[in-house]
Amino acid sequence: MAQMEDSLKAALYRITCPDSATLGNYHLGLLGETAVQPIANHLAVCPLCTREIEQLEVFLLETAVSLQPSTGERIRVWIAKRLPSGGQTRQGLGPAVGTPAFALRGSSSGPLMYEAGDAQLSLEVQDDPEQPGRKVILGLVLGIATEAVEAKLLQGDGVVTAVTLDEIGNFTFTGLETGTYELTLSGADVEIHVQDLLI
Amino acid sequence: MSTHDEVGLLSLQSLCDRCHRESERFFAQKEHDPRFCYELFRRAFVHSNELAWHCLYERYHKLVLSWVMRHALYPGLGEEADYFMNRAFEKVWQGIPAENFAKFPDLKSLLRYLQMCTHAVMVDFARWKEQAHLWDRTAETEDGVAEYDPFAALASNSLPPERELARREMQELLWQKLQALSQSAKEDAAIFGYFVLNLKPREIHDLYPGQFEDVRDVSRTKDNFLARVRRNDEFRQFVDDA
Ligand SMILES: [Zn+2]
Repeated sequence: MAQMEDSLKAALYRITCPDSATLGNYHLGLLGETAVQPIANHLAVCPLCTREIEQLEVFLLETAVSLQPSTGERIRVWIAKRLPSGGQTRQGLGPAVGTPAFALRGSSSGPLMYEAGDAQLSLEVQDDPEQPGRKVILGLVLGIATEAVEAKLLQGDGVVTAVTLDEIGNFTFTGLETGTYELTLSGADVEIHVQDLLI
Repeated sequence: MSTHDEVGLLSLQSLCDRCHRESERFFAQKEHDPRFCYELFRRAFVHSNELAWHCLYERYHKLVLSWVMRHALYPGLGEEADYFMNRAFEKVWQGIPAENFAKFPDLKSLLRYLQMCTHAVMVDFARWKEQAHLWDRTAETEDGVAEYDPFAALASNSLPPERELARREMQELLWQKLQALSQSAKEDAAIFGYFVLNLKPREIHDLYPGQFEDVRDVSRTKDNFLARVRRNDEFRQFVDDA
């Protein structure tokens, strides 16, 4: 008889208990309406599942502390929009043609102009005079505080290069291979993205 | 365009990078912006984006590991924390179909779900361990003097995986047959307590106040029930067929 009892226990242990994820979903209120009542009925008669729910409750409480603190939108994210070639920006950079800062850089095709939230961005792509076949990007950002803003060039899964903006918003990348990049400008509370930048 | 929409337009690489930076702030208990990691979760679940999943794993595996080690069950389970951490991620990936993502309005709710899954895999393991212990006990008694035990095959843990489902179905059928042979609420309580919950007679007695005269009445009820089961031709037929 004892052997048969042991076999029955091994065959039937927790046979009517919902699996632990279902119990968890029940506790988090994620189950559909029809699924809730059978679990509630089972909990009324099963001290083991009741204990597992209590353990989950304690566990969630103990680990919940580490989810704090968070703020809703600490950072403003702007995706830069390309302005038509030679077009007008809202302010700051003025007409692309005749802007002295870029004129000095000697670009033949004129800079790429972007608008991103409150910021205006100009990118000028030139041949790298020191590395034949490579390119240089000369950038300028206006309209945001440029203190401690990092400019980063990404390609594929990785960061190609990163520099810090100078006090008036200039930055330069040199020795770049031709290709498609993403440029990000990250400050303390703002992040600007220039996507699909073809050089 | 709202800021939220802009986050939705970020490249995966930028999102992953920013989620990482915000996570660093979060681990340092500084104010952090949860939208980037939330957007990664959204792309992982709604768009089944493998790279988003990979990034989330990179961001959160240490956190999950710390949760595992803080769980009350962990010291008694005898398994590496990494094992539970990986199972927890698997459970999360399997647990949120795209159409259910709307049930998670923010990062906090997703991390709470990750916590729940961490707990669930540890509880599953504890249940499995307990059942393995019962299997072992069955094997030990089988090595001794053989006695009539029609349930041995259903209690074995040596079945190949392809027969696991069939066995589970047979176990459920066995439970239904046993319940059908019960003749009272008292017998219901005794067999549920003994065989499903693996409780001791005293615990069963306490679980059902007023149901049993005393603790010995629990064992007596169970013994009478089993004696009747053994005499039942239909039940014997079922077991022989199984
Ligand atoms: Zn249960």
